[in-house]
Amino acid sequence: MFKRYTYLIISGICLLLASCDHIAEFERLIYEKPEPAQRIVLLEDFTGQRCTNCPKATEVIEQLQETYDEALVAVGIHGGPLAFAGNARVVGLKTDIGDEYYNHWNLEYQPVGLVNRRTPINYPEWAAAVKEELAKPAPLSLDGTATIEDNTITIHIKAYGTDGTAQGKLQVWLLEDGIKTLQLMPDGSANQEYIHNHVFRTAINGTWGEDFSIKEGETVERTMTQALESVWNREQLSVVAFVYNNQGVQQAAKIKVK
Amino acid sequence: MAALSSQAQSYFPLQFVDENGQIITDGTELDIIDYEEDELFGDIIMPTKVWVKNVSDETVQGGGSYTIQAIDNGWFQTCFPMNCMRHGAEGTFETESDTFMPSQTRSLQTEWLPNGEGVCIVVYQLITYRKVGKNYLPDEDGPTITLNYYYGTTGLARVKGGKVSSVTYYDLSGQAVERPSRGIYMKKTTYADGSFIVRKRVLR
Repeated sequence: MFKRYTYLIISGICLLLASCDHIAEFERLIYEKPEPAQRIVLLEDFTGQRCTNCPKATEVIEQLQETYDEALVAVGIHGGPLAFAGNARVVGLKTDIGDEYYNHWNLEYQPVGLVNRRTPINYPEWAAAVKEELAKPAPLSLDGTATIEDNTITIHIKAYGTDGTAQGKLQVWLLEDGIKTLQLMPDGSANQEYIHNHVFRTAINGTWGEDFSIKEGETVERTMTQALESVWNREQLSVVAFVYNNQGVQQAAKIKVK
Repeated sequence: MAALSSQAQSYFPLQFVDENGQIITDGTELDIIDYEEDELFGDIIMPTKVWVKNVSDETVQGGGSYTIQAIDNGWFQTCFPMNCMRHGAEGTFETESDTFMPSQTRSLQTEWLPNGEGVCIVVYQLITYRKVGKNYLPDEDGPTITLNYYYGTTGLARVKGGKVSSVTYYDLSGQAVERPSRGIYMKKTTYADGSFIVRKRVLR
């Protein structure tokens, strides 16, 4: 009789321990926060082919890209009164959307830049602003693919929420590198061999992008297309995607078109 | 009072200078009649052959402000000292500032790009800046020059507001000059009512 009770008590203790062990294991399944995303900074350079000082700003961008590599995405937006639309002799890089952006931000001079869509600042101040923005955490990561088939670019954007909730707009732009055309230089000369890089060509999903929201741990995907224009060099195209709101650009990415 | 002001400006660290490095007196009016045709952009450009020099032995933060008093057409553009601005209407504007090393001279890089006959009148003033926190704020106002651009003949009549019957330039020896080139002249503008004005003009 005593032995029976002893077995029962030991069995009960074992069951209790086993169930305690189960609770402890359950408690270990706590929510794990996603790995922080690397902050990619967007620099919008408002430039123009008639602007003699604009190549100086381009030099600043080149230096920053050497320092920060892919952590900095630069876009040359040809808009405003010093941008050139082109004529029979010279290829112009001005776009109507570039003009709209220039006017929207109430810009008064060129070159001038927006670093993560904060206050417009002069190019000697860009380096400090980029450094400051890079130190901020990003609420999401952005990545994607861009491929050309039958003169259509198909862009697939994949976002992953890494910190809190991000709301705003997802903007996707098309850029072109390596455009050789006229640029006025700081000494006043006209350089017809000037190579323009990261030139804004068009906004793929509208001038101001599309509504976007993402929660921590969530994946959001978007697919869009863009007809290829004959004046664009398909070998030199890239897509820039970024999420922005009233607090500025939350994250950006540059994707090579293949 | 004007004389005192002029004297004070001569000690200002930034001065307008000509192509020979000679200081252009505060308050000078420059008549600009030369133009170039830019075949690439398809523009007519009336350049301003003026430079700005730091005449002090200290580093100076400088820039400018300008008032477009009249612009019949086209664009007034200035790329001084480190950015470019372009305006097609009357108004007052301020440039960004930049550092001028002692004795440094840099071009004003300023021009009118007319797209038809007319005038453009701009008063340009140099300004020094001082650093307040992270920013540079205007400190002192310096010398001014007035840039009178005339493109075509109608501009000459427009600028005085009356009907001009003739304009004659005289060199410093008093000889009439039919086609003045660059230099200093006395300009006699005669109006339809017989009145006339004679003013010293520097053509660039």
